[in-house]
Amino acid sequence: MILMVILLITACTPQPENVTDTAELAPIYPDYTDITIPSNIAPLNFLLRNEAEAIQVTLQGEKENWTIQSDDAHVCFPLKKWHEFLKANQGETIAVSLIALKEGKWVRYPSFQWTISKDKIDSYLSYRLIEPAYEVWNEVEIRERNIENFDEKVLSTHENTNNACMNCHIYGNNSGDLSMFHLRGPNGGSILNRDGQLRKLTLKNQDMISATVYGDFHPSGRFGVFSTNIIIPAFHAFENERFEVYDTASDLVITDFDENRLISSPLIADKGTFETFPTFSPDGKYVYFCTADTVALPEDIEQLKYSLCRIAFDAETKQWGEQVDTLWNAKEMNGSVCHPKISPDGKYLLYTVAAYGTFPIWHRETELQMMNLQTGAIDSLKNVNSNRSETYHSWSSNSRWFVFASKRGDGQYGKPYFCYVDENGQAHKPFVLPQKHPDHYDMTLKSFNIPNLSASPTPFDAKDIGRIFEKIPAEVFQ
Amino acid sequence: MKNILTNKYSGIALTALFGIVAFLFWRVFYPHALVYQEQYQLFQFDSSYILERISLPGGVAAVIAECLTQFYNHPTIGAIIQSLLLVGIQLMTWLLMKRNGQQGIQYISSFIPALILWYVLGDESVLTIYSWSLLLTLTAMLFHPQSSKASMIYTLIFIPIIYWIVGPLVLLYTLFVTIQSVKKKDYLIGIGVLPYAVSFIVLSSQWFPYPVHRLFTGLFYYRFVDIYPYWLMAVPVLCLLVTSFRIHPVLSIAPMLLIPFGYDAKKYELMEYDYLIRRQQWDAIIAKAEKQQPDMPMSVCATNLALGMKNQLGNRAFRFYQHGTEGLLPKFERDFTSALLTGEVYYHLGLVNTAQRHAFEAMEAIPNYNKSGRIVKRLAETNLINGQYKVAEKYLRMLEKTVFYRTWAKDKLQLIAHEEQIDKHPLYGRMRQFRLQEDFLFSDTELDKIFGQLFMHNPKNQLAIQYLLIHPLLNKDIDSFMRYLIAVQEKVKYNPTVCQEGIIFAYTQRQQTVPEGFVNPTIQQSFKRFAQVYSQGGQNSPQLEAFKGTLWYYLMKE
Repeated sequence: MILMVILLITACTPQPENVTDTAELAPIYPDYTDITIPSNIAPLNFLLRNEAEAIQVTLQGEKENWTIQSDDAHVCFPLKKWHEFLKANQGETIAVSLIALKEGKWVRYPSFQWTISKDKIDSYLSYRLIEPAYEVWNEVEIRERNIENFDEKVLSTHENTNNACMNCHIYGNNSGDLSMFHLRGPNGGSILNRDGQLRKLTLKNQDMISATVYGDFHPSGRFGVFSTNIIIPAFHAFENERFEVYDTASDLVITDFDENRLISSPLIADKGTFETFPTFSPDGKYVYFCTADTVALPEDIEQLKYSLCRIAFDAETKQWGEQVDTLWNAKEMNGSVCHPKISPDGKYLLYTVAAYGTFPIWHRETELQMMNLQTGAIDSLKNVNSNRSETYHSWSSNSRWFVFASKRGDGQYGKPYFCYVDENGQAHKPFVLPQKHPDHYDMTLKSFNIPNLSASPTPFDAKDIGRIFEKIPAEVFQ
Repeated sequence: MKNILTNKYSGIALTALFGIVAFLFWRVFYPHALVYQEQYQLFQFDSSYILERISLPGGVAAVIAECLTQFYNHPTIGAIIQSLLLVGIQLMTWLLMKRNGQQGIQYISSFIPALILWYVLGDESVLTIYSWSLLLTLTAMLFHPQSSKASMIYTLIFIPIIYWIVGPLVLLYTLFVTIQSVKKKDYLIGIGVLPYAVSFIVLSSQWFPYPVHRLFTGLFYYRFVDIYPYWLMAVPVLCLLVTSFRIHPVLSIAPMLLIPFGYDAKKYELMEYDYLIRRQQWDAIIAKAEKQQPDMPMSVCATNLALGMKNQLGNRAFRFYQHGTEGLLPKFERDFTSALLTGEVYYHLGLVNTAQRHAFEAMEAIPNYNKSGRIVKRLAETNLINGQYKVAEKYLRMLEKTVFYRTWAKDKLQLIAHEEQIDKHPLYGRMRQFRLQEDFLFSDTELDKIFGQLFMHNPKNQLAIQYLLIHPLLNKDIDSFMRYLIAVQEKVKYNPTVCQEGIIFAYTQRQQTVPEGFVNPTIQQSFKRFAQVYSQGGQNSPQLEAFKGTLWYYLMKE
């Protein structure tokens, strides 16, 4: 019986015969050609955008070959065998050859390569799923994906939080045991997860202009650094522009989660300047942030350009430093820096540069840049950037991988891309988060927002968040 | 009457009459209500769409109902489905009644649940899924076995299945079983069945990402997920009463009398305006406004758009009720109906990005998170016009999976990346010519300046000219009007009645003589009389009523 079933299945899948070669590149989607992948990534399922009737894919490794067949235009690798193959070939470059049946004829496409890096990527990726709307939102969720397979956990859902806006889920130390996100509106607060203990915090006092917005954890887990922003949305009238968001005021604050205190500094609370997107250095001794002189808004928005600066922080005394250093001067570079993130080994600083403003996600000219903190050299990451915006990046704990949200492709729906940085600091061609169904990104109307990497999973889920949202009052900070 | 109803055919005739009246009600008087239901959903013949739905309690009924609701786009088919649904519920009620020994004149009582449902459907937020779930539940009740043993097995097996198919209306089935069992003194099933069903619903909250109260009130019955109109329970309760007990037939008169009260005239008037705008029936809108003066921002906005599209705004704007610039373009609200309508105005003006924003926001604001065929279509159009082909393709591929938009989507897919064809397209090409070429941040407090930019960019944009000149007049700002009029007349010949009324008013205010040829003698004479009446009797002079429909009346009286 089993034999009959196998025979039946085999009989249904056409076998290549009279194959002719073509010089045309295979129209594979997502673009997984000539990339470096971590040895623990989920199967890179893909499809051919030429309505192929059948496909034969051969992965040619140094030690073994693996051929799989498909009776339509979709190629989906079995999970267990995929991981066995990657494990057996890690550190190697394998050739992927493709033969496709199209209009009754078998065609062999030029093969492409996958370099399987021994450097693993953190296994968990959190992101917010949201439609790329303007001011109105619905069905917002924060999810955590195991990127070694296709498992996904809902960390927080609109269903359990009265459709409240939720944003910026961040991990501390690339660990699921330290994370935070903000839930807005009545019953809202900042949800802090430390070792699975969930707290709801009101990170605002009477001196602050708003509740906390963008932020990062101190490596000790005791402190966080956040911006507070008065955020104004605006809408472009021109064809390719969409949405603008700017601040009319912004400052920075450090939160002490043990003593429920908010610590600010007059140096970064100047009304004549904006400060935003703070992040701690991996040793916790500095806060890196973006700052700009105020301009008349919205009329002079194109003059609003943020520089990259840093200020010291002493965790012992809980004191801000007394000097601000500029690392990237907006006037000299004629651009605006956002989202600085330092690699956990402290070697590289990754940031985005837009023409102006503080909302690069809708600026198609936005590009990632990487600064070598030891030499000061800047890499414009030519083979990483596209002609659409690349933002909201996050490092893997081994500093060899980073993830970023890119609007490449349709320009509207953001997707997480992974990029390898080798031992020479060379960034490789990025690839999109693999999905079980290769046409997932064609079908979804959701943007993947603020992707963040973690080596371990968070210990809570949407039901826990629903409970804390409904039943637990927010702790007050002074 | 009793004799009539014992006749086999009289019941059929009564049911047929009921169906015909229901059909005429929807087709003739409320076709817009049917289209309204269709436009806030997007049923796709797509496995992931269907699987996502049927994996939830009530999802099977949702798929069936949404599949059929897409046909409401065609009001005749929609009216047939809607009336058959009501007839189905009445017949199911009767079969259940009959099974419980009711006959003859009791047939009239079988109309009570269907009539109440008809009344309830007046709330446009009650989804067709609710009606289909009810029908499926009544069907399940009909198939419930009579014998105790079979009843117990059937109940144990089918309660989870019925819950999966119809959602919490399974409780109607459960209560029916309870009553039937207690009547037969089968107390074990009678007492046990309700806790069984309730515990099943409670337990299901462990699998589904919804709070328990949402699972009890239904995921698909009502458009607003955070509101549940508890009076929706009236229909199943009546189903239960009518099928289990004898209800006097006279009582069916009450729901019949109730029906007209379920359909709020103002609400449905707006719905009709929206329907006519969607179909671009500008003459019908004007005719409707002529019949009954629109007096709400949305209906005034629709009327002004129709007048503008027919190039009549400059001649007839003040023959209709006006109340400030909100009647030209209502302020943006996070509401799916008003954002949709306002977006139509921006679209026809050529403000493609703003139209796109309103369309996107309208879809995001749909309270049950559905997608909308009408809106996805508009988003595909704005992205085609803007040359954002990959996004346009994404939307068109979605529409390709539908019944009603498939042909349109296939046709538009041919345009992707064909700049020349889009430029030549009668609508998209015109829109491209209307689009502004310089970027600015949109502000709804500076609409007149935006209309001015649209006109300066393309003086052939007739709607922009009309809106530019009417805007200051609605604001009673004669100086701006005169400035804009001079700018317009430098480029195009445009001097309709309202402008002439404005010119003579402005010159009189400045105590100057109107240059020859600008205002026709009839309007000059009329204004003289108006000035006389006003100077003698003031603002409250009853004789001013004779000037209703003029700009002067609006400026001085409204």
